[in-house]
Amino acid sequence: MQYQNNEPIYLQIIHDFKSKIVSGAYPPGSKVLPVRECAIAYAVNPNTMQKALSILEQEGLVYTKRTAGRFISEDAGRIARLKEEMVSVYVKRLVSEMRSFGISDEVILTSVREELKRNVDGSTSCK
Amino acid sequence: MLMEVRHVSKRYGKKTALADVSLKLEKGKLYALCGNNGAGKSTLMRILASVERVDQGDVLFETHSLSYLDRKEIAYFADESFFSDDVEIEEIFDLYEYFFDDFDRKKCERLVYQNGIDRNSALSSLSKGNRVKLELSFTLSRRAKLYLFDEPFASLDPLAREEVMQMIVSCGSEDATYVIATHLLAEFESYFDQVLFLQDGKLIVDQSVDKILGEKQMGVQDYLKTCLRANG
Repeated sequence: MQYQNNEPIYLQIIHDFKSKIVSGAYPPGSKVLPVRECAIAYAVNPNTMQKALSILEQEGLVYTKRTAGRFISEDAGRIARLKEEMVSVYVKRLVSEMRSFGISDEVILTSVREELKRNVDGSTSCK
Repeated sequence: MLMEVRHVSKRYGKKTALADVSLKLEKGKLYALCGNNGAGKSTLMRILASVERVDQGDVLFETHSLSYLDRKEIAYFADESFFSDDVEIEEIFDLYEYFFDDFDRKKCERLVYQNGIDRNSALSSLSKGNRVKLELSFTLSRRAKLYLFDEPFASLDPLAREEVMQMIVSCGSEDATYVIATHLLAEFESYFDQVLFLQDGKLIVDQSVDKILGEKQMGVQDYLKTCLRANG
């Protein structure tokens, strides 16, 4: 995991978890490693890992089963909401950055539409 | 708060090793102690380990003045090996059991085994990396409140360095305080809660890694460079 220099590490871990939950890399109901092992996987100390996991738990994305450990949420509704949250974050970022370059809303929209029309192989369909 | 260093100065002859250093060590946090050679890192480590006295100022451990009695709660991994090459590993087990009430022999045996080290060998037969991991196994098998490591990564290859860091972070007592003196901040930035930076015996930086990343918006190495420049 490569960390950026612009945000506390525990926030970057939370974001990574959220991305992996949305993409399915951390499937719903799958077991989360114990804190010490998770910490090693993320190259942080257990305090930092615990902090990130606690917040994920507060947000309902991870839950603890008394003796069995921690698991990714199985709540499909919660995960759907997470997807929406992430979409919103990325869209906000795109729009604010483009606007800060002085690009008009119409151009932003048409650019996005064009990009969506591109086929997977990179070619452009004219439809 | 676990320890407090208050206006500590230490001289060796004409050379000032530490000049008016004050800092607090909180329970459960992992500290990086950085600075160039000769900046005072080892001196500070030895003072925290209670194996060196201060010339001025004082050091508190929990609520009392730090004394040699507190060594039973402090595990110190010095920058030079404590043992001579011809010592047998089994002897070290006996030594630690004898000297430290809090030594967890079973845990140590497990750690040594997990690191692929043969207990029935002498220190001289071990590679540098294995020697460090062996001595770390002993240090980390003590149930201490404070773990001090002075340059544990010295002369190790990148993989061994990573294994050493992972051991330190996962094998000691939970809720203990850890201080690692190292040059290799860039490599292990993500592990540390707080950074302490010594320059010519003075403490120039005492800052949380989260604050540096979140508020100053820069990597820890870059932050240290800017602080160095600001201090002329």
